[in-house]
Amino acid sequence: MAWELDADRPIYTQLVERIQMQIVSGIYQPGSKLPSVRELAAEAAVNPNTMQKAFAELERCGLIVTLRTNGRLVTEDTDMINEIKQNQAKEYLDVFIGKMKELNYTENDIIDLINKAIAR
Amino acid sequence: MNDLVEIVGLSKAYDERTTAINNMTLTLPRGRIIGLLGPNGSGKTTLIKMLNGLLVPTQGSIKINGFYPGPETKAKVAYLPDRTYLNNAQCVSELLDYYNDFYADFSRDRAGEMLTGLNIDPTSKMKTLSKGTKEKVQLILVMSRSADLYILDEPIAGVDPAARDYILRTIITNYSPEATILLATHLIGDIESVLDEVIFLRYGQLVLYNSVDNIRMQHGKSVDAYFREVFAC
Amino acid sequence: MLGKLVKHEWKATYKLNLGLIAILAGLTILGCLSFCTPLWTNAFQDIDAGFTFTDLTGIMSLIFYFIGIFGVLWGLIIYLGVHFYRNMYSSEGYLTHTLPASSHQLLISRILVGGIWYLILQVLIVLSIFIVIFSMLGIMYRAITGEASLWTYIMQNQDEVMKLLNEVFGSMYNMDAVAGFLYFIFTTILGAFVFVMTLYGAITIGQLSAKHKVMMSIVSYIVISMIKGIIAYVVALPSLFYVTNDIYSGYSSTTISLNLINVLINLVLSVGLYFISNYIITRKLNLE
Repeated sequence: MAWELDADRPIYTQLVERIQMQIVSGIYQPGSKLPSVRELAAEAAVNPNTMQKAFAELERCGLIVTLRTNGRLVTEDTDMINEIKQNQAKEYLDVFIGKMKELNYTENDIIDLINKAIAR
Repeated sequence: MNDLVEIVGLSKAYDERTTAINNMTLTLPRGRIIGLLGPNGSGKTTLIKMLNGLLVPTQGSIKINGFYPGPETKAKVAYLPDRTYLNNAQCVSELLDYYNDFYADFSRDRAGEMLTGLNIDPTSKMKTLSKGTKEKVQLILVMSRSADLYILDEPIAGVDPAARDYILRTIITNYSPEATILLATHLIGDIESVLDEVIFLRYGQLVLYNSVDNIRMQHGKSVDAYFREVFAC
Repeated sequence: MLGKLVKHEWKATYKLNLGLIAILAGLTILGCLSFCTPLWTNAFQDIDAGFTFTDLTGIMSLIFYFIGIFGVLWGLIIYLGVHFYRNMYSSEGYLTHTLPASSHQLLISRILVGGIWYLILQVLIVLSIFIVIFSMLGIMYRAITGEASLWTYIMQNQDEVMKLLNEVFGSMYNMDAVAGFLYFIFTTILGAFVFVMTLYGAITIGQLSAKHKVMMSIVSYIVISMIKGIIAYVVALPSLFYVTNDIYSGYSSTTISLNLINVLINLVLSVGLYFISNYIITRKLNLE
């Protein structure tokens, strides 16, 4: 049940990444309510204060919105979500393309391999 | 909001040669889960005993909620020793009654829920239970109190991994911004992500008091790994 | 808080103590029965009929009765000591000393309950002995007079019995019989608590030794008893010079003041022991 976290990086940054990923990939839909800090901390098996810090960070960059009546919602700003999604995709692609080029594939080879992989 | 625990110039010498705690000054805030870490003989047990009023300092002072250790602090401190300390002849429900009687902040309902959650029969006598189950009962009694300071000495050492998860989850869900949990343990890796901060003790002195994330950021490794580095034999 | 401590101390100890009382009841019946053999009825009638096997069992059970009495009394003393030690200074001590109670409350609750049980058992033992003696007297009465019941005789001659009791209590302390009776009650009750305080105090002093706690407890108990004995002897010394010629005067007036001084010394020592125990618990406690 506990989230898998790296032992040598700060926990709260990993929590931010994880929740961000869940939002961006649609596990938490825009405008939907997030579980409470305590619930999520228990699920992740982390300290509630650390989870709170992660939430605060996500709030700061606008991905989460806190309602006065005790609730945290994912932002409705789908443009922001998509932008983050695209940035993340770009990161993955840069890494992938870099590695493929290390293997000495040409750009056309790379496109072929991608098409074949998707068709599987 | 004032601090929960104020330790000033604390020393404990058992005799001329053995000093268990050496001039320690430390302040613990509320609302934290703090790990008390250190090799055997570092003074963890002595510090814990003094916090519980089971041992008297040779010098310096401890104050919990502004009081020196005594009946007022004992009403607000929930202690889980690292041994079986309950009367073997009693059955679990008698122990619930006992705690209920003496501690105003004890919730019999919460204890009952946790016993059910761990499949422990309240009518069973303590002496019929396995060591691991006895430890679970002791933990349940302690965690069913709404204390200001919880002192847990090796709460997960003698339990199986599933129960370990249950215990950690209980600690997390019982968290309150008014209370602080002090957790002494050797199994750092298992509980690191549950801790806010850690205290390192060596030869009765405070070596380090810092947050888990700070340590990870500053040293690029887990607290467990950093501990091994600091206390390498 | 004190009330709760007393309640739980009582709950923890009553089962075993009721068991001891049940054993005492059984022993009493045994003691009474031991006089039902022909040996006694014959002896009271001055008949020499020889010694049968039934007589042997009768004598054996009487001996067993006396050993049993000792056993029950010592059983209680050992139980109280072990229970106190376990509850206060072994692993259970971790629970006891983290309760929101003061050291005074912890001590007083245990002395109170221990003292009450000791007192109850003492009273019951005396009662048991009286019952057994009465049954012997009953058999003697029946043998000598042929009358069925000693009890009816007593009921019919209540005045004489009262006079006898008056003499006993009057001569015990050379004071008014009622006052003597009350004084007797008072010293018995006080004595029970003094004894329990001594027991618990010795065990507590034993805690000062790091490695030889039990040995230290036994040694301190012996030392305390010796101190009491020496003080009592020293106090009694002057009175040995007052030899009384009248051997029928029973206890002289010096004896009563002696007794009172002894009581006071015991009281003072017990109070001192209490405060020493309290000091040890608050400042010298170190559980394993």
